Amino acid sequence: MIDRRDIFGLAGAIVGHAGLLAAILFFAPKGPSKPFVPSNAPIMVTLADDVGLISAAPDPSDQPPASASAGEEAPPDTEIAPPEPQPDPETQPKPAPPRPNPDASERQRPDRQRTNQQTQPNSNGRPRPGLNLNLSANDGPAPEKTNGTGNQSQASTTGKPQMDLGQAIKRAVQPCADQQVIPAPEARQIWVIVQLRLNRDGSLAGLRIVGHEGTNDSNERYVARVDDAVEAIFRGCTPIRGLPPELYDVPGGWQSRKFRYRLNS
Amino acid sequence: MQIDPNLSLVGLFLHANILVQVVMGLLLIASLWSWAIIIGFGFRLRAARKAIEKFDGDYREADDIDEFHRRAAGRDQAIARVFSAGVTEWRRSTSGKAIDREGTRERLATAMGATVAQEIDRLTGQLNFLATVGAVTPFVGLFGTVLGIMNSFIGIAQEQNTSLAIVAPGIAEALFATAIGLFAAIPAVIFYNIYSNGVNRIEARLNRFADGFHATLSRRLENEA
Repeated sequence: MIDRRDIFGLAGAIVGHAGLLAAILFFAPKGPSKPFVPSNAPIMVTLADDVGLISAAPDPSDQPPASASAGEEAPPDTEIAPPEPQPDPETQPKPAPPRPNPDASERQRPDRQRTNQQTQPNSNGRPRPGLNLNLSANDGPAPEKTNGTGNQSQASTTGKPQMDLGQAIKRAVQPCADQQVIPAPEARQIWVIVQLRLNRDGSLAGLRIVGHEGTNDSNERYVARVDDAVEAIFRGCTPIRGLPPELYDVPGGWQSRKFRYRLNS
Repeated sequence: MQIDPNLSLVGLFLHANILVQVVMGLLLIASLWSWAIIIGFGFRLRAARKAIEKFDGDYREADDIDEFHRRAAGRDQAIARVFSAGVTEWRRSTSGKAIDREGTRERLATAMGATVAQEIDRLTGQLNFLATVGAVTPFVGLFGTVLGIMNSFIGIAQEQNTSLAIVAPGIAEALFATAIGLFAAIPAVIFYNIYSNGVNRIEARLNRFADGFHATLSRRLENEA
């Protein structure tokens, strides 16, 4: 039975809900008070496909523009050879574009000579550490993929990024590492020193765990399980393909290599 | 930077799945009806309390019960109906030649007690709806949320995209159903408790009036014998 009070209550409820809706629409936040400003500058990520004895990254800081070494592979920044004197591009006046400039060709020559020296083995026939020895990879001009903006085009002139052999091997076994179950969070702190011997075809010739680092009272009981997991990783993902054959039996090559490894690496 | 209109409260409702919209609509209707009861019952409780006070005062000032009954019997008030039940039972029990005093006392107490219970039942009929809204609407809202989240995950699976910008609107729409459920349930529970306490106090006052009237009739019964 609906009487006058119920009708009044219903009317009040309708008016109240309508008022609340209007208030929500009127006072709804129109947006954040301050526009969102990303706090970090963009980070350029370069995936290195080349493999060297040590890792290298392009140095965009102190090399002349790309025109100085166009068509040649740029030297990495870990170069051992002493830098030859070269003209300062900032202090030299720019040549007039229409007529050929002999100064420019002279300026290119030292770089070219130096690059040829780098891509060839040394006089004793052994590669130098730090050189980009991935000869099977593209020998053409270095792609300018490391540049974020046009005014940083110097980076492409200084060398291609490359990862060292340890990183290449770790990347090759990473699919097997992803399948491993880490026994406990404390086990992530355990570094296993692995002595790895590989055949020339990339297959596993021998694996020996020579030590551990990062063990303590809390994770000592997981050492055996971590050792088993590491051994399973290396046995499961060998033979390793894609390692440069010219770095097989050089000092520091991948015939026999010792490195630190942990499960979440 | 303006907020996405789809993420406003109205936009969340309009862009939700049809089933979730139905759930939200039911919850809004429940909220509307519960607030209608809250407002209407508040007036009704206040009127009942004032009527009891006024009737009790008039009864104490009255010299003759029969004359007071003639004046007050027609009032649409709970306490007036309790009073009328007592008078009616008194007249029935004392209309014969032989009066059973003990039986008359028991019948008077029973008649007025039953009338008090009937009035309280009539008064609390709408409170049951508040109790139901307070207990059920959170679960109904949760049901809508579960449906909305299921739809969101289905959308994620279809679009093969798990970015937060894709997932968040669906989750927000789904959670909006729970918010409406709580919006309906919280005032319903609060006012149910307040009004239950008010009804208990009215019942106590009706019982006190019935006991006092029973005592008056019991004395009169002895005098008539």
